[in-house]
Amino acid sequence: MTDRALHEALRQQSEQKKMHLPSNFAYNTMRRIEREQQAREWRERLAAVITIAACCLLGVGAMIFYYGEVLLISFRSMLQQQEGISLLPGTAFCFLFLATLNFFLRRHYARE
Amino acid sequence: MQQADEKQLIARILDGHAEEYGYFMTQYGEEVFQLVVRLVPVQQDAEELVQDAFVRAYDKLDTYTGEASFQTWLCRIAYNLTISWLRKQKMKYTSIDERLDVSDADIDQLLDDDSRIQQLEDACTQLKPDEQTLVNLFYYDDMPVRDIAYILGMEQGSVAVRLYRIRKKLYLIIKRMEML
Repeated sequence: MTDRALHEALRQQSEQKKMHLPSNFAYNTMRRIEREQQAREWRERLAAVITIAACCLLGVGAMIFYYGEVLLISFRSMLQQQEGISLLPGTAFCFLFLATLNFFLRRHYARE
Repeated sequence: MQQADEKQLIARILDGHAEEYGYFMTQYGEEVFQLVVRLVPVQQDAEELVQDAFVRAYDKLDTYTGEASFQTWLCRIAYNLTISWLRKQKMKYTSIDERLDVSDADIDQLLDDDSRIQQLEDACTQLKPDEQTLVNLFYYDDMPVRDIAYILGMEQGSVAVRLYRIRKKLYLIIKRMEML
């Protein structure tokens, strides 16, 4: 069995309707891949932001729900006491320092 | 480029050098296109399917294990996408009662008969997409059975059985055409 005629039929069929990819196929496909990758990254970033925001809201909400009254009372009593207010500049400085450090470290390691 | 080099290239692409993926398109684009265009003989549709296949392959690049060559892997993705696309088009194919008794000698004689080339061409277009692909890969592309089995997602042993049935089906299609 050689199936000679079948071989020839397939060859002729292929020759008759010979079509080719356009020369800019690779370029167009790469552009599409880039576009889809950007869209995917954007979607992932958006999903991350929404998740973080939801978690923060949930955390703050839970804090207020469970400890809101206690926190309010403590804050009021802190404002009434002189020593409590004196702690505020130090705390604010620490917060700013740590936030700046966090920003620079993130920028540094993100580049690598 | 050897398969090992291609694996290195894939590792580089996964490492962030996405622009190097263009190599595979230049190298295998035409082969994948020829596979698709046999089933979808419309330039624009075939082109779009090939592009979809390359995009899908890029997205799944990290799952390429190297069990087949990258070209064969691409062909498998393209073939599956094409079959899904054809299913959506709800195309109709000739169904033949394959239980009919035909001697192997008759089939061999018909498939060797040069005067039947035109009939065989017509009969091939009436085969189902997976059958057309199998016949083309085996007879026209001379692809190893192992690769054909991988692309079509079947066991190597089943390829010979399917080929036997397709040869018989071609015979029956031609006989039916003659009766009309």
